[in-house]
Amino acid sequence: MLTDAQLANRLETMLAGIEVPAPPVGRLLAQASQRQVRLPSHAWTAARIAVAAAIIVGAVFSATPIVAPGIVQTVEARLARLLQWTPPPAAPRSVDSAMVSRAVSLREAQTLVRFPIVPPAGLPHDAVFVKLVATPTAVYSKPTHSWSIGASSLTFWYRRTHSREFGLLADIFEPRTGPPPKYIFDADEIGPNGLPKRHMNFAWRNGNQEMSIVQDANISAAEIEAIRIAMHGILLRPSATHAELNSGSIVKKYRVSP
Amino acid sequence: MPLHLDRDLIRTAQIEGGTALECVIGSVWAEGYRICASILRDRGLAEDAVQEACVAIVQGLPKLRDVGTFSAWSYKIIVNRAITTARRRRELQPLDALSTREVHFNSDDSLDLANALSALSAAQRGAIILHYYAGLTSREIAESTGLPRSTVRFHLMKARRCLRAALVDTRAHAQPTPSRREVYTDAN
Repeated sequence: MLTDAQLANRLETMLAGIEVPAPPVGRLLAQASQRQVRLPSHAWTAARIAVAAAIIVGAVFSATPIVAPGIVQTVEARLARLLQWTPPPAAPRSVDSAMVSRAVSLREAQTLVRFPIVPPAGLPHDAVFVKLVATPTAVYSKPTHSWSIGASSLTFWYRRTHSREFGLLADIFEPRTGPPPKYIFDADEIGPNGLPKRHMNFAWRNGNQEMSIVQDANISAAEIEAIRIAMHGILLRPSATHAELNSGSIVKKYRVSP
Repeated sequence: MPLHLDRDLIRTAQIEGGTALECVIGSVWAEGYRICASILRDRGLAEDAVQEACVAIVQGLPKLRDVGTFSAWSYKIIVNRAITTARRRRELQPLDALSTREVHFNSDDSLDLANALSALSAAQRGAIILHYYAGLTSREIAESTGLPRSTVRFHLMKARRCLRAALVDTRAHAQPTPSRREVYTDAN
């Protein structure tokens, strides 16, 4: 019969025998000093604003934004002026509150969307699938000046080493929104000029599916390109002019949070 | 409790940071990595979990009022991070071989114990480590994990029973015993 003392002793011996890697002291201290509220693995939950050809492919607000919505709106307004972009009016509360995310299986996801889902491929070696999240979109019609609830968008969430994570957003390809935005502006990373830091946005098509992802510290542009190539996706040219930025008859708003 | 740190060192780390804080991180890292590795059995995930735990400890250290509770406090954070990571992993689907970075043990005894532990749930493993290794009582474990005390006691009892059964089994298998045929032969 193994006594408590023997069990404790064996446990201690077992733990003592595990080889320990060197502590990344510098990195830990840097991470600890960054933000007191959230762990770095949730960088993607930061409120992000995308400015696009009349698309808010990216008025991507997290469920619990680090930056207060008021600040996000102020930043959005400044960006809009800078980029000569005409943003839609704020979505009514009823529309915003309907944008509730939930984890779904691939089979269930297929019943929620009107395009054949092409799952991501060619992911970085350390990427591990976490979950698939479905969230209704909000759609603003310019001709009717009204907001409505649209079909769900899907986000494939992945986790990587060093507490990194990234999401690939899949939605129906919608020509009425105009070209995808070239940059996503992160309202959580305000630069010295008072404007949010911009990140390259990549979008491609597989049939009727449009997939998009933002390049940042969690995933590099080269890794994103590897995913697109592995998926045989057709790269969508981003908006290049102010006119393109305001083209499109509808505006879509997404909520992306892990 | 194996994580014994000088109180003055912890106070200095709280107030001044610098080298004292680096020393504290070094000790917590080693201890935390071993615990996370034994709970998660995956070196990559263990590293992620202990990294999150260390960040939380460094951030929470200035607010720690009684430095005498540092060890128990740190163990709670470490084990909670490991359990959270284990829960997250349950939803994960490994995409490549990198997700199977198994932890290696340096003796058969340790491997037996690790295998017996892996038959338990992450919460049970956490409770066993907090109780037998970190020396926490069931009340302290309940406080740190947010589970009712009765649940913790149940986890501990069940885990103890499983571990004893598994370790007795492996010990029995490890020792050469006469086969039934040999016994008959002897009897004849």
